[in-house]
Amino acid sequence: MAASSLPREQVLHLARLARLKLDDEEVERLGAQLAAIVGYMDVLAGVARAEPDDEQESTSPRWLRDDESGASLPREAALSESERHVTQGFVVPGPKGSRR
Amino acid sequence: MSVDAESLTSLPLWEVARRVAAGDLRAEAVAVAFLARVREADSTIRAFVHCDPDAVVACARDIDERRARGTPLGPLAGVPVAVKDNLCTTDAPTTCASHALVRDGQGWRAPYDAAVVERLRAADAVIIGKTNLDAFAMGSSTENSDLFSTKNPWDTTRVPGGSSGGSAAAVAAGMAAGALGSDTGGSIRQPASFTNTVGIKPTYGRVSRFGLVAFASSLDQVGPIASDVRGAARVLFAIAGHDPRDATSVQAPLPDLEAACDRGVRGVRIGIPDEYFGEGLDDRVRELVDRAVDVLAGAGCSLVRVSLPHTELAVAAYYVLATAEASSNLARFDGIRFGSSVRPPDADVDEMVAATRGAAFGAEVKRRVMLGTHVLSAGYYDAYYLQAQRVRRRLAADFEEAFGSVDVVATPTAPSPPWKLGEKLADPLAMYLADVYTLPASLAGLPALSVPCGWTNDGLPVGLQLIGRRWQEDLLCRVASGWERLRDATGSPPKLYESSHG
Repeated sequence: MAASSLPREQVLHLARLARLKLDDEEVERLGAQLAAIVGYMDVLAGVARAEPDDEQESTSPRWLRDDESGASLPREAALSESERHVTQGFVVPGPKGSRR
Repeated sequence: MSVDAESLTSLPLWEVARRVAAGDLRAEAVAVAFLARVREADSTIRAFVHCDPDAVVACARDIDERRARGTPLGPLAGVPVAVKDNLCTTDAPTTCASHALVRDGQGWRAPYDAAVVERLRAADAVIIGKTNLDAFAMGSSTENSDLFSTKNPWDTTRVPGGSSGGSAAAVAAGMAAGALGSDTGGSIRQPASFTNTVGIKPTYGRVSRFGLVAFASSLDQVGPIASDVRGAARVLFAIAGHDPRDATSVQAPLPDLEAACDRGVRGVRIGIPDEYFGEGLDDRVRELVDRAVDVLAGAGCSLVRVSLPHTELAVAAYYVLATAEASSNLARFDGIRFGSSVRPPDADVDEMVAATRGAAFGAEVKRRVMLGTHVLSAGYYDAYYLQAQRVRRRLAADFEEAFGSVDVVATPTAPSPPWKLGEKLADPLAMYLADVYTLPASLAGLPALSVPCGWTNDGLPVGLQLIGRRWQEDLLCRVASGWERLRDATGSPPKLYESSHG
């Protein structure tokens, strides 16, 4: 792929996935820049896929620690740096369509 | 500034520690001297994001009082150490040089110290301040800091490298005796190369990442920057070790790194990889690195040509994997639990998060988050992410094969000397390609260091990179320290910042 720019719809789709609000200038600039970078990364396509050492090692139980409770951040410390919070937690706007 | 204070700030880290431990120097005097240097130089160089002189002096005074009481002191007692501002500190803000962690002009306050900060404090280091970086450690020049750019002390029209440019510049300019940086794809080694300092990226898992704000979790490592190998070795020894709070930190025996510095280089087999000396390497760098390895050969090392055939794929693989991990790690910056937030009227939570992140992240961070999102998304994951993982494994295999016949691999740290401020900002891909020599060791999880190997005719520093087998930081220190002695004996003593800047 050697497109000069990713399509606008694709840039906006990625922005939605990444939870990023972009202005029009950013959409245009990122479209061009990402196309160039992704085009460079297409060199990875030439790497052969079937080699024995490609298999990912399975997760062995010996690598996992015991599931035990331990010390954790005190509630007050966890809340202290948020812009809006109450005792019970962080205050955020409601989800789409909910009443504020 | 008095002559004594000038001399203090040009002492290597281990000599500061020795004199404080011996009672020849008071920690407070050391702190005052380095703070004076910060006042003198940092308005130009802009290495520091945060420096609280009263707190620094109070810490140093406490060390003097404990010494007077006969309390045993740690191996870094009284040594001013700067800390990159992506490492959590409870007594100073942590901003990652990003607007995302600055609210109403105040940086985020971490509720805990990073593990490496805990260990520095336990070693009685004096943390002199927090240093500038490319925001969230994403960059190679420190120009991507949302706060300000840091200048290279050797030529203030040039970059100090990145992303640990503030830490490297602080040490190079005598504003700190040592510093901590973080290295994901070269962010300790390259700024060390650009500033005539020594920087070490440890084996992945050697140093705890607890309290390091994550960029790419399978690549990030904290490491030291110092004016010489012995100083870097002392700091690394202090911060290394298993930490149960970091699930990727390993219980590996830590050799005596400083003792290794005295072992000499005779008998070491040095691999010279073809792929690192081809097209794209600046002739000034090539000449200095060639000369360095020839000197090492003359001192009893054997040079062995090796091949690391997947090197040409490293940049592509790295920028797939690192950005994929970054897109996940930076998802937490949503303005809800910490940091800045934007709350448009009548916005729902998704709109609030998107507006917050859109306002908070700089151009490079946005680019990498978008790129990482792309390579993980449906329809692209196999072609990019899985392929990059395959390449990563093969790069590691390349090194494993090479280490069958050599002990260390020697390469230039960077393909060029430090470039001019602004020179590469318009072309992100050009900036990424400048990481070509440091990325492979990161992807393979291997230890690597950069040690100064000389100056170009136009007065710019160049670094020699040494890459070792896992857990063999001692061998790297041995060879690099031996190189330092050979280098200095050939009539090319290191320039001192003071002598260059009056």
